[in-house]
Amino acid sequence: MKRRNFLKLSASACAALAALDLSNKGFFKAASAKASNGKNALPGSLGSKDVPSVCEMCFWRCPIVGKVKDGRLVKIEGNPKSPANGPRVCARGNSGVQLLYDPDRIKYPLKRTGQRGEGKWARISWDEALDEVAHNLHKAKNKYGPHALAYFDHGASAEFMRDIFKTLGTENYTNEPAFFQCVGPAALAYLKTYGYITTGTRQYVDMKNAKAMLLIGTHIGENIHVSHVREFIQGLNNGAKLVVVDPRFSVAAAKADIHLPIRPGTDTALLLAWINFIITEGLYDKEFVERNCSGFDELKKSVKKYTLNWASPICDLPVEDMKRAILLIAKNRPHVSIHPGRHSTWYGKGDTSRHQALAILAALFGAVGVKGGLYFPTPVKKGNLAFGCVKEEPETPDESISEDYYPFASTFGSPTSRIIEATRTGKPYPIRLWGINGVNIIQTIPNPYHTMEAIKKLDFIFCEEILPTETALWSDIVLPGATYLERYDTVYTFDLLTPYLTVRQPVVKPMFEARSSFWIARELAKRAGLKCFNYNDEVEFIEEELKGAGLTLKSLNEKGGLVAYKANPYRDPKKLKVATEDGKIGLAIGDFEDEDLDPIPRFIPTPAPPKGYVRLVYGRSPVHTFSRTMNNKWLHNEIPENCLWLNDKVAQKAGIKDGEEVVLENQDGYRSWPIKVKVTAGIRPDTAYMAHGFGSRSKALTKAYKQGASDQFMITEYEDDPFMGASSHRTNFIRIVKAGQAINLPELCPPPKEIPRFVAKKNRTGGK
Amino acid sequence: MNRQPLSHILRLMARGFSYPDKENTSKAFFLAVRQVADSLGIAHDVSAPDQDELKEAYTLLFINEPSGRWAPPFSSVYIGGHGLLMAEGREQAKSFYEEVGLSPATSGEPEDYLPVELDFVAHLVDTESKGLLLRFLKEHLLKWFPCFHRRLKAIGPHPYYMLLADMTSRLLNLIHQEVIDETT
Repeated sequence: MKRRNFLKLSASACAALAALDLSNKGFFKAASAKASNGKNALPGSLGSKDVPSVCEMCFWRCPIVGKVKDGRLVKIEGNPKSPANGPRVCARGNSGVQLLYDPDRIKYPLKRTGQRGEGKWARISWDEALDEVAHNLHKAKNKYGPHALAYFDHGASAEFMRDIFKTLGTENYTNEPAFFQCVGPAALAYLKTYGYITTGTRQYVDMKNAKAMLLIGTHIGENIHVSHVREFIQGLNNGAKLVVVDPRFSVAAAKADIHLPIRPGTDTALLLAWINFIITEGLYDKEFVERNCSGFDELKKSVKKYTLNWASPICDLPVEDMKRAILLIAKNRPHVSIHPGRHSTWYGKGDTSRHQALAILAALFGAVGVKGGLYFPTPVKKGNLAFGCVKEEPETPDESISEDYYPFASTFGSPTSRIIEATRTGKPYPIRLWGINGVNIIQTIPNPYHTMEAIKKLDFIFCEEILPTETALWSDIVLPGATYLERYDTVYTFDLLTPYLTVRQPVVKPMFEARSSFWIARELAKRAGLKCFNYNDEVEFIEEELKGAGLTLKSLNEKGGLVAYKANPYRDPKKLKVATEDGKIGLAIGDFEDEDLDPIPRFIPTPAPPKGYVRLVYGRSPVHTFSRTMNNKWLHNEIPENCLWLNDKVAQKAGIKDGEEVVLENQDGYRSWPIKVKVTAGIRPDTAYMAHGFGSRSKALTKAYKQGASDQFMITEYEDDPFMGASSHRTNFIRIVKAGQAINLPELCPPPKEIPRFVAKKNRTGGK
Repeated sequence: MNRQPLSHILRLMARGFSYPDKENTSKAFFLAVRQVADSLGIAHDVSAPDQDELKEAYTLLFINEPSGRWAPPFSSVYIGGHGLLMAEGREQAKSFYEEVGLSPATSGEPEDYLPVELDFVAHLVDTESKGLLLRFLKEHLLKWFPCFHRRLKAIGPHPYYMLLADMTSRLLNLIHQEVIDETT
């Protein structure tokens, strides 16, 4: 630059610059030789370095391979070594790249500078963030006692921090939403019936080898877990018959031999009538029941009143259709998949009983430990991991919000509904600090208005987050968590029909100042003065775990990052012994009776919609997970918003057209954001449906914000399951609002006298 | 003007667009910004902001903002049309750095972070790498900086960052024209 007069600096400017140290420092270093190898010139993922790992776009956790070029993840494929998914991943698995490189990510530790919920932050250092969290943990504990701390978490990586809360002595950790908003009732029912959690994170049901399958409210194909969906399809390809019970013509219903569009809330009535029918007609497996089950006589007596004729008006199903469906299943026993379900927090009262009835049905058909039926896990050996957390002697509260309310909750923590109520009211004791990890509680727990009200009463709230969700906006400190593509977790074993061992390991370095959950928990424990996490880093404990499997991280990676094992899922029915107290499958559960709960399921009606309203149910979008993926650009491009399924006859009478944009109003007067209506004959007239997770209220999620409506913000009424305290999600009702005017919907399927009508609480005024 | 003040101004901008700390919010730093703005003929009425005020403003503008009205300081978001981090823009920037055997040493920010790119321009000025400087400006930095600048203007940011963006825009365009004039 010879003509340097293009910029004339004043003498004072020169002096001001000279006063600063602006020499070349900080941003650059000499490049390493490998930076310019020729591989980068190859198109796409050709020439990539392949790193085996484990997906977490959903919690089925398929083995994957991350393809990395020049420090950048360019593609994700299934791990070809995996006997479960092979080289396949679903749409979400593919789109992990877009989570990793989403510019909206939380990049640094943040401290709230505005009001809670406003999302105004300033970046702070990790030291400041962790010190502040540690200080507040002690402050709240010292002032109010250990139970003033509560922790909401989801996912394997959130378990590290859960250990801190347990070590501090609180009863308030929640396994939420995995347990109290999803699988809890089903997991408990199966645990007590069969002695193992037949359905929880995983479902041990052999659809691939089934001759007939029964799905009740389970919409496989919309909820994509790759190997599970594949087994379902393989079963159908092999000629399995399919019965689907669902008020909606779901993807699974479209493949069914018999679809029973049941009145919502009456599934247990149908199941009890079927149980009575197969006992009365002698269609059950007498030999299997006599040899392997306890409580048959009590069951037989208890279900006698539940006939198909009784169930017909309750379920709004013809007797002949119900009979045809159960005969189809009975004809194919014992090789029948009575699917145990997964998300089971529907109606509160009766949720555990409904899944207990499903478990009983499978047992009556002898569909346990045989091809096509429920099967047993194949444990995969690995080393035991002990983080060495030294826990104080737990101080029992005078009134526990877990076991004093729900006898079977405490194994899994405290129910979210109780934590929120105690935080709002200070009763039975105050809760003043929340930690949140891996879950957007405002889009997950019923009545988000109560959740936000509770947050306002806290002394302190912090979260570990990847994206600026509503929960992050409400937090005082936000810790930037590494995505699953940037971190190690514990060794992962899969104990279903295709057992294997693999490990999640970082595909690329963490972006910005994101840190792994283990690192965050370990640093926090140190600052809180807790004796916890006696491993320096993740690799140390992974090596310890792998030692138990005769492996090292190096040897595992040399094998492609995954080792497969032979499955042992079936048992000889003549030698069957399950892990219950008496070794028998429990058709009547003494533990329930001991707590004054029903030992055998009975039908408890769930209230019918108030006049002018229909029941709101929800499900999954096949390319999205909960409310976690709506900001993912590829997935957003596929399905950007949800729509409301409304029965065609109802829509016609109410003057609502297909594709029309409307607002929903629930029974408490809360209104949704706009949502388009899908007018269809594929849903009952007393029911409306939408996919869960849309309608984000965080503007910082620039792609997800205000796309569709949130079902969660319509769920203001809930009841708790009396066994274990999970909150109901299908006990709310909506009508339509057009041009600001609420429209009552016509009632085309009035409920029978056995089902009472819902009565709204008088003090609820919602958005009015 | 010699090379050094020019590269110093570029580094002043690079530091200015970095997260506020003791050094880049000092009175001396702010004085230098004002003096250079005057020399560039950019009118301003910015009083010395304090560090906490700038930290909040920086976070909301360049890191995470609750209303979604923010301006990511990464070329990848603007180049290639995908709106993602670590995409085409980052690859372009990285390949320019590699031509002179450099690799950024950031604390986790991608290589196409604005302060890094401005620091790279300073390096090219220092080393008189006119051909590469022209290509870097024409084929990369001036392809996206104007988009970033427009986005900032539309947001109506803290006046200090608007001033830095106006100054950087003026400066880059002047250098670009100067290099064109010298090489044609």
